[in-house]
Amino acid sequence: MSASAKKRIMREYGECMTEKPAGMKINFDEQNMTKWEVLMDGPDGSAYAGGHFKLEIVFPNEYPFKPPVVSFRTKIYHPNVSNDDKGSMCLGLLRPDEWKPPNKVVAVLRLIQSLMVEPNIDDAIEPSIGNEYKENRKEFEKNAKDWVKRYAK
Amino acid sequence: MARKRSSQHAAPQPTPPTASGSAGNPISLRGSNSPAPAAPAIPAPPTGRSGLRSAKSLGTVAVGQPTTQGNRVAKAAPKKKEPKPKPIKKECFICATTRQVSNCAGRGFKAVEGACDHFQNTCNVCIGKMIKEKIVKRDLDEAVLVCAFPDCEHVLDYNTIRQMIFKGARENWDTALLNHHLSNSENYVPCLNPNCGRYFSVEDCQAKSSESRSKNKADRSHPITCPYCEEDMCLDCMRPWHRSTSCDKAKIAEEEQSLQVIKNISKPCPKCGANIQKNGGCNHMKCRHCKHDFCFSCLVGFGPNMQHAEGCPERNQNILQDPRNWLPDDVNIGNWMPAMMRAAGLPDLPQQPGQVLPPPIPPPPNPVGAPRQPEPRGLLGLLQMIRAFHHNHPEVNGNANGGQDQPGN
Repeated sequence: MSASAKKRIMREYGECMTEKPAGMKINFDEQNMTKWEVLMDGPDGSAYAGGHFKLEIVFPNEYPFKPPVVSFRTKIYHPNVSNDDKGSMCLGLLRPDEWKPPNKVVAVLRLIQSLMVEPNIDDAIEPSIGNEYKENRKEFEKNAKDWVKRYAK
Repeated sequence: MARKRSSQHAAPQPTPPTASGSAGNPISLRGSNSPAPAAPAIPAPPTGRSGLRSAKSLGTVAVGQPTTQGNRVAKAAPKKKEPKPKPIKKECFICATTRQVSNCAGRGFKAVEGACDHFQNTCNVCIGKMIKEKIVKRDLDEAVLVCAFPDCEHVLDYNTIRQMIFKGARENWDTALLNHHLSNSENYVPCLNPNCGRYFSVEDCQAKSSESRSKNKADRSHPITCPYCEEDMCLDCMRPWHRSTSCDKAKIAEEEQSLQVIKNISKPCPKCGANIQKNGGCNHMKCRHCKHDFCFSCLVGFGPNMQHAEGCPERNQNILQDPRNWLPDDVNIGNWMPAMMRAAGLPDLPQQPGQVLPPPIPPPPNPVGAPRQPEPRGLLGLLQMIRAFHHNHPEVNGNANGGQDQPGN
């Protein structure tokens, strides 16, 4: 990874520290700054409230010209997070063709938070959960809360 | 003239090929140092004042002399030979690196008059990388760079960008642009030799070819020769020269070969049929041609009610019924097995769990089509053993696990 990419990541970390996006904590390892660990609280009012989710953000060598890769390390019942051992997300500005160099990680973290409040059903990676969200919201919330209890406490 | 022009052109024309090739004057894309078409005089550097003002208003670092001094020195320095003033530095919006403001390509900032604040504060290195991304994405219809910041649509034009980026990047971009545009031109063809690939004009050859074609229909194929590498090609069908075989036969042979290769490396889009090759990422594929979303493994379209096809590695067991997601909270060796069996909707085992537990039991044969199953470990491994047991003992299997199990066995 080039020195300028590292500088940019450092800068973004600094910004995250000063802006302090609410409801999350970032673990930053200076030895390996291309991999951030984020602890995100389930937003109040969402089905994930009360849960604590571990996320991993990996910066590619070409950052910021290619998007960071986001994955949930804590299992989450969510239409936009793959229900496998990867827990990957690939939508909106995280898509390689939509990512732009000025975009910042803070925006990515905000996107994740807003998706936890309101999932994006049109771009669901788990269509069965997406459908449940649309057709049977009560059941969805019950399941999501159940998973929070099981995995995200 | 139409045939084998190479012998006349190859050797005695050492004229450095330029980007403006014409009939019989082939275009070389290799080593062409052609200057930008009428590169305008380098725009005057913005006066120190305006440069600094913009830097200040942005709150970026403007290390260096006070405004007036910086301004004066910039003009007077060459005469008085004063000690060089500290150069103006600022930090790049993109790579967050502090670099010098200079007036040339290189690692600093090129001051561009009239550009938006974002481009004023994007260093040349980052501009070069953005151009590289454009080449990779084949985004070459327009030789410009549009500001990527939200709600800003400022456009940097070709000549300006050329003055900012490094020589190598400049050449790569020119090559890509030229190739892209020549590929749309009828008068230029690329050499088919993969080690050459340079474009050359066939304007005259085509006239000759169609003339003779109308005269004598039997005389169909016309060889042309690349003026650079002397590769022979057929002008009529634009394939490698096929001697006595007719163009049609050569075409059929080539098509067959191509189809075979395409078949081996791609899958057709289930909606529009465009052949798609996957070179990375997850199995959620979006057809570039018709924008259809589908699973690259089982080709089922993504949608609200989507269910991956049987045998597809993406086909999770129904998430709600996958016992792995519903391990009871109070797992203990006494009750976990029946609880899990019930959660999975499986009939109770005829044996006691204790009989299944001893470790020396060999791992069950992996059901076909379950490549993504993690290595059996702990409870999960045991669960898989149970499922394998049900595969192998259909008499206790019933229909309870009908659609959920991996097919096979």
